[in-house]
Amino acid sequence: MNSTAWEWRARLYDFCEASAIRRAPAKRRLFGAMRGEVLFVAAGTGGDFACFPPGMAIRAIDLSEAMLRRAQRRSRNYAGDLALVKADAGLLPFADETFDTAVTSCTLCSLPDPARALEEIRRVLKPGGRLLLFEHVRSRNPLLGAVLDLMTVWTRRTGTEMNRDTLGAVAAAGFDIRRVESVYLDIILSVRARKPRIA
Amino acid sequence: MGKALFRAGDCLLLVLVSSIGVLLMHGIHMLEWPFVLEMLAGMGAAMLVQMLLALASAPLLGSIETMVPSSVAAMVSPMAVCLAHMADWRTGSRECLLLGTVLGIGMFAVFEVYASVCRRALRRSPWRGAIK
Repeated sequence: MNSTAWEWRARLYDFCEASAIRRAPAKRRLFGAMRGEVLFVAAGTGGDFACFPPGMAIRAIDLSEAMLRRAQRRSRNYAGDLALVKADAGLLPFADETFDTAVTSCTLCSLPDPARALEEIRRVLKPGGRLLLFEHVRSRNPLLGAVLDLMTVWTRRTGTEMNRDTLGAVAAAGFDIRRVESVYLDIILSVRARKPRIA
Repeated sequence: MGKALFRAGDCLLLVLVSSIGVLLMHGIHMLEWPFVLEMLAGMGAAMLVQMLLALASAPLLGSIETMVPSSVAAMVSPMAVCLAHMADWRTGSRECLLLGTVLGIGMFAVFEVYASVCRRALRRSPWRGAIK
C-alpha cells in the first residue's frame, strides 16, 4: 500500500478496531509474558499500548509515518520505556540477538511478506527468546475458511489478508510453538512461541 | 458481565441478519423470477445488508467477530426460505420473522459450541498443525 493509503487507513484504523475492548483481556494475558528487551512489530496507531504490562523496555516499529504519528500520542501514556522507530518489518534495523521478546498484534495478516518478517524477528531474537503473537488466521473449518477466503477478496484491497496460515508460517520460520489459545473460534489466536536455543 | 454483553450483541446481530435475509428472500420470491435467479438475488441482497450491518456493529463487537458469523447467517437464512417454499410452506412476513429469529439464535448456539470446541482442542493438546 502506498503512503496515502496508509494515511487513510490510520484515520479509519481506530474506528474499525474499536474491538479493542473485546480483545483487551486476551491481549493483556499474552503481553504479560513479555520479558526483558521487547520488540513490538508493528505499532499501528498504538492501540495496543494500553495492554502492555508497565515498566518494560519496548521498541515499537511501524513503516507508516501516519500510524506512528498517532502512536506517538499514545506512547506518552505508557508507564515504561517505549520508543517508536520507523522501520520495515522485513528489514529490521537491529543487530542479531538484540531482543528477549518479540510481539506482533494483527500484523502478519498485513505484511506483504510475512515469512521474511518472521525470519527477521528470529534473527533479532536472542536464543530462547519469546515470540508472542495475537493474530487472526484462516479457520480450519471448511465453511468458515471459505468465508474468510471470500472476505480476503475485498480486504486485500485494504492491505489485510484474512486467510493466512500464520501458525504454519511461524513453525516454518523455525520457532517452537508452545501454546495456542483461542480468542475467537479458531480464527483469532493468542500464540506463544520460542526461538530455539540451538540454531 | 462484559462477555455476556458481547455475546448478547453477537446473538442480536445474527438474529437481525437472519431475519432480514429471510425477509429479503421472501420478498424476491414474490417477484416469481426463475429459481436460480431468485436464489442469487436473494443471497446477494442478504449479503449486502449483512455487510453493512456487520460494519456498523464492528466498533462495538469486533470486526472479525461480526463479519464471519454474519456472513454465514446471510448465506444460510435466504436458503432456508427457498427450502421452505420448495416444501410448499407458504410464509408470510410474520413466519419469516419467526424463521429468521430461530435461525439467528440457532446459528449463535452453533458458534458458541464451536468456540467451546476450539478452546478445548487448543487447551488440551500442544499445537500439531491442525484443529481437526
